[in-house]
Amino acid sequence: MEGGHLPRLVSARLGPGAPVTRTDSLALWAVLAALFVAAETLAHVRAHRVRSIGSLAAPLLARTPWRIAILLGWMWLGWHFFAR
Amino acid sequence: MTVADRRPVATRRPSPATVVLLLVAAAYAGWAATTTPFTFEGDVATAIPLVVLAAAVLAQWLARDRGVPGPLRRLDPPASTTGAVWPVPAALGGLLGWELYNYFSLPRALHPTVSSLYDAAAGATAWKAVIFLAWLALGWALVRR
Repeated sequence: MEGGHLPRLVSARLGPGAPVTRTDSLALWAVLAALFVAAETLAHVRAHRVRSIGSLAAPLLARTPWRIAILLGWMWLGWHFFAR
Repeated sequence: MTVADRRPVATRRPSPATVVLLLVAAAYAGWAATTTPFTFEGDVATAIPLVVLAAAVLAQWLARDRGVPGPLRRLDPPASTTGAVWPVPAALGGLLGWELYNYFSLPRALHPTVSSLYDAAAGATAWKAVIFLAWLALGWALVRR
């Protein structure tokens, strides 16, 4: 290229973004947890508008294989957190 | 909307049996929170609810064959089957997606998973007791359905 001027083909904005901090991660955890609590609360306050996790899980729990799988999941959760 | 629809959702007072059960569960969670993982006491504290719940589920399964509801089953009407399905699964999906992203990202200090958040919280016995009680409540809710 004449004159020694190379065009800037890549914008500086395409470089690596700002690093994720622990505060960012915790903030997103808090937002997602708050959304879940809000949805579940709404389901209990306005049951005819939003289905609760209980009403969604009821058909699964009525079937023995799913019931066993969900209960095993509960057992694993407790063992993972409190025993191991 | 009828007058019945405007009624507060929870107007029932808990029965004495429910209060006693809650106090027993809270006391148990308080004791379990003082145990340490990877110890005999920690194993026993966790295993007792597992055995109780497994026995209840087995009794329910045997009772179903006899055509009766079985122990601990709720007899009140089933939950509403109308309304939007997506909000709760969407919120759960968001939590699961964030958990997976953090699980496969390092360092853990910058990408905390549920387990690492629990480890931080469980350093305080009171928090561990609350989490243990929530786990018991979840198991109770599952076995009641």
